[in-house]
Amino acid sequence: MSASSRPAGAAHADFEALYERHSREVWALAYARWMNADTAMDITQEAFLRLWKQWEAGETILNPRAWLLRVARNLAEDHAKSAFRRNGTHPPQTMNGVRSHDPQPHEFLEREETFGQLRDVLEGLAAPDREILTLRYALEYNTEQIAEMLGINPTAVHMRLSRARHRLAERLKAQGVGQLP
Amino acid sequence: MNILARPPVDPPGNGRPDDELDGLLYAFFRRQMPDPWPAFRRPARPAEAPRQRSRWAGFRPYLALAASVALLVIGSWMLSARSRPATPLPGGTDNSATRPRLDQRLPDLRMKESLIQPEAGPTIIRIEVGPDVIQEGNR
Repeated sequence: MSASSRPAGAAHADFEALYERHSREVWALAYARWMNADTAMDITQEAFLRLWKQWEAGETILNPRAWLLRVARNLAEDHAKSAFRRNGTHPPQTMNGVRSHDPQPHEFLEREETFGQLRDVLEGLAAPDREILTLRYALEYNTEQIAEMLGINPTAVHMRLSRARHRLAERLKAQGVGQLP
Repeated sequence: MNILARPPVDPPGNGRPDDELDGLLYAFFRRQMPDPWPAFRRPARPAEAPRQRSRWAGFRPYLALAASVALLVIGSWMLSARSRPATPLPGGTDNSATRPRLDQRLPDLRMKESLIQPEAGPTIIRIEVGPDVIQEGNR
C-alpha cells in the first residue's frame, strides 16, 4: 500500500481506514508487553506515526499490518529498556484511575481491587501467555484469528491458550482472587 | 454483587463464557481498553516560513530590458564591423583589389554600329564601344 501516487485526501482516508482496522491489534500487543493501557496507546500512536511518515516520504509498504506489529514490538522493547533505566525492575503501579477523594460504591471498589490483583498476576506470567490471553479476551479473537496473527496453527493456539488459562487460574487461586472453580 | 458475573457481551462466535475466569478476564480487558477509542494523532505540519522577497526582485524587469538593449547594441556593432571595407595597406600603395568607390564617376562610353557588305558572304554587323568612338549621324 502506498500513498505516493494518490491524492492527499484519498491517502488520508486510506490511512484512517488502516488505523481503524489495525490499531486495536497493535494496542493489544503493546498492552500484553506492558500491562499498562496508556503506555500501550503511546506505543500504538508512535507506530502509526512512523507509518504515516513512511507514507509521506513516498515509501511503499506491502504489508502495513505486519509492519505495524513488528514496529510495535520493537517500540515496546525499547520502552522496556528506558523504563528499566528510570524505575529499575518495578515500574510504577496504577490503580485504574481510581481517585481517592471521590466516594465510590463498595462494589466498584471491590471490582477495582480485584482487577488490580489480576493485573499483578498477569504481569507475573510469561510474555507469550499474556499475549495470547490479551488477543483472546481484549480483542475477542477466535482461534483462527489468533493463529493468523501469531503465525502458528490453530492447534497450537488451543494448547497455548489452555495452558495460559491454567497457569493464571493457579496463581489467582493461590492469592485468593475471585471465585474460581 | 458477584464480581465474577458473566459479562454483558458474549464473545463473537464462541457462545457464552465457560467459567468465571473467562468472565473475569473479559471484564478486566474491557475495562483496560480505551473507550471511546482515540483517533490517530496526526502530526501538525510546521507552518511554512514566509518566503523572503529578494531585494532584487523588483529590478528584474528593468534588468531584463537593459540586457535586451545591450544585446541589440552589441549585435548591431558586430554587424557593422563586418560590413566595413578593408583598410588600405600602410605606405599608400594602390591595391588593385580594392573595390571602386560608389561615388566614383565612370567614363562615358560611346557605341558605333556599322554594316559591312562583302562581295560574297553574309552581311557583317560591326559594333564599336569605347570612349573615343566617333558616332556618325543616325541613319
